[in-house]
Amino acid sequence: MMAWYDRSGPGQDVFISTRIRLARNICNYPLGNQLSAGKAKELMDKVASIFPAEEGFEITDMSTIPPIDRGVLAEKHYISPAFAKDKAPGLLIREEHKGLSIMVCEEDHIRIQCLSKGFSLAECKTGAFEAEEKIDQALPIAYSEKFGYLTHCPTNLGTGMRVSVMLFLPALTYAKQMHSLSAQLQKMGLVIRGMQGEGSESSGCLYQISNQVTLGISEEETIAKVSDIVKKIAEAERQLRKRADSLEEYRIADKAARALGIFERAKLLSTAEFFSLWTDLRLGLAYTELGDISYEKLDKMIFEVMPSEMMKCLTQDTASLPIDMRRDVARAIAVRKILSK
Amino acid sequence: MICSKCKKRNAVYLYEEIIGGKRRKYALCAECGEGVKNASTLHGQESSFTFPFSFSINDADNLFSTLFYGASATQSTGKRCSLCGLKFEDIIREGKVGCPLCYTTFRDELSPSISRIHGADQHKGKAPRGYVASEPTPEGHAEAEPVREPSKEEQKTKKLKELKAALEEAILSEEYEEAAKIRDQIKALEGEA
Repeated sequence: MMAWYDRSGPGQDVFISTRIRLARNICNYPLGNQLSAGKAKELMDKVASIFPAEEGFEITDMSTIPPIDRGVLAEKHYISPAFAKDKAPGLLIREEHKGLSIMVCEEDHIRIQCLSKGFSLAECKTGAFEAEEKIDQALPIAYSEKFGYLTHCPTNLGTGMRVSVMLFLPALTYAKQMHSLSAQLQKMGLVIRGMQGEGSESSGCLYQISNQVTLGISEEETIAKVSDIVKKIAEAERQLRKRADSLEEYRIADKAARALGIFERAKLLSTAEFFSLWTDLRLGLAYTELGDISYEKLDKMIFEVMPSEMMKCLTQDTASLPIDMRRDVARAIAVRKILSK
Repeated sequence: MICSKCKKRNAVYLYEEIIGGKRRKYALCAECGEGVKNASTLHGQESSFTFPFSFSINDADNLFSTLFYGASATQSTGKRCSLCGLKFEDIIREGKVGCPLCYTTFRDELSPSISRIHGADQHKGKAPRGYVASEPTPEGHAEAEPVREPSKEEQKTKKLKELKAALEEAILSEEYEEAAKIRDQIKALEGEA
């Protein structure tokens, strides 16, 4: 089965991926630390029975997964980084072809998320709400007329829905527009973050834009608002890219070609260097042909050459080297492998 | 000016945040100001103190304890949630409720913080399947326990059970015309998708 991130999607020059997440809790079960191991087990069994393996759902008991594999799941966005670190019992339910993953006993009892490549809010909405409906039919979801869906943290009350879109915005970043953009988004109830939160500004010019407010605004309104704003941002990014004159275009194409040269030959690639070269390459692709490099190949990298995954790819011949160096060797190999496919 | 967070020390920082389009200003002392800087935000939202792209999950965990800033333990009446046993001060400390029922138990205490976080205090949008809006009580509290009304599916099952019992009774008492009517009703109900 092809992973959700290993596909193409609409608007790839600017859009990396789209996600809709729903937080739901079940009546009469405590939350967080108040939820006993026995009750958690009961809840996990109930939710698991809604998504049978015979129907193509893959169910994973998180307590059986070593920390490194949890890290890999987080790097590929199947689970939240918090769920990867959490030592309490938890369950992951996945349906790969729909990009659906459901975390049970995360911060909330149930976190449903639907991921898709490029900019495809409608697809994510359908996937997430289909799964939600199955749960709604089987279990009593905690809800109040006033506060909407009741969540562990009050910041998710109301729709319990977070819509996020990951964008690649090198032109806006280089034009130093991100700070003012961030301030404007805040005023509109939206928030912008680096990829997976761990990123700095230099991490691949990747940004996640999502709604901040979940109470007093309906699902449709939230989706329309995020959609409208990210489309405007994408347009601004494209306009800015078009403003490059022929001289600048030549420089961008040169940078991309050099980045490709390093990707093809490097023995060591740190995360920071990887992202810097990756950005040059991805931006270059908007201006020039680069052999058989595609957005799909490049985007696959940001999910497959991250630290946890690399820890699983250490080679024997580097056993005498320090661990971070071994990881950089593994990354150089992994990048080449994706390029050559 | 006294710090609006600890209400003890003199304020030295002016902190500004915009949530849901609403701008709010707070005067903070050196200590609380540093705390907010380190936690990225005052209420779990990005703030003008921070560089917006340096968000990290670890920070997020800590900063929620400041969510109910402004709510003080003096509001406590010793009341406990009947499901999870938490008191209001526990919720302030954790920044999170202990169970869905806490929102009913501590509704009045939580409402101001929730309005501040979202810039709204009334849900708009989807409700669970079969959720029936409850009638407002004389006190104006429309809130029912966060336990749903029976869903359409559940109502249907109940109705079917009643009809089948009536059918059995009709057959036993040899009221065949009545039994036929009931059988038609059952068929119609079962036929509903």
